[in-house]
Amino acid sequence: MSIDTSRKAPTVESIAKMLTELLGVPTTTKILSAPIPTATFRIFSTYVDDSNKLTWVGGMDIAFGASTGAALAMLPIGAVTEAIKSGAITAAMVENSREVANVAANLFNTLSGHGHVRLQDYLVAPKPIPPTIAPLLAKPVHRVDLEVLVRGYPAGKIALFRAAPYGA
Amino acid sequence: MNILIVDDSKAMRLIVRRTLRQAGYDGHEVEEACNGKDAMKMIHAKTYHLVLSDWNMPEMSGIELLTALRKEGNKITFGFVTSEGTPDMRARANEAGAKFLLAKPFSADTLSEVLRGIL
Repeated sequence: MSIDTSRKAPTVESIAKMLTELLGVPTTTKILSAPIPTATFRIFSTYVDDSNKLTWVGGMDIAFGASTGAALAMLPIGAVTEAIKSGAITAAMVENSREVANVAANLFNTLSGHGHVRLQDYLVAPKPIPPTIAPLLAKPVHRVDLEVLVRGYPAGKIALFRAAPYGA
Repeated sequence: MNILIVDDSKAMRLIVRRTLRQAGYDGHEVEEACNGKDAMKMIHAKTYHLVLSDWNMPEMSGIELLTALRKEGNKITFGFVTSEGTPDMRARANEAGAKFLLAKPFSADTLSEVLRGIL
């Protein structure tokens, strides 16, 4: 695995490729011109380095969690539209989308600055947003906001928030 | 041939099955275990020709499973299918006797490449 020192965040192409290979369904990503409002996020994945310091946070809407969670296990689209309508994803979708978040840690490991990064936690509808991640959501070193379309499922939104390298 | 998929995630077991099928290995008997401990019991009860195992699992990890198998003299072909593949993990896998380590996600072509000559 090579380290890319020129980028602050994974490219949209690398995110789409990871999702396409993992879900087994063609997936496209596009950068959103405006930041996703924090209130939209219903799911958070947190990533830490080997000393357990927070390095990245992923904020996702229900549609992202439901669509990726469903696609991973080839669940029907009806389960996703129901989740979006009710504002809650099923336990199976949570387990599956957590696995997506787990594998996504590899995207961060191709970047320089944080060393080895791994998934720490996967939080569904935390109330309030934990104080451990709220400061990073408010003031990241870098953020990327994306719309993700998994073929056959509703589009979802995700934002990636990068923390400063510790000691930097 | 009998193949054993070992992963604590049901979805990932499904994906490995799917990828095996896409890679053209659909004529084999495939069974599943959800951690190393269960896999060990299954391997003691039946002959498997290939184990495709996750690394991190509750009860008994993949590397612990491989180490325990080799310790008892079992030479079953063993490959890791795991969410990350650091140089350290690859070295440990190799040292313990794994044939390969595939980091998720992986394509059917990649799986086919590592399994060529094994199945």
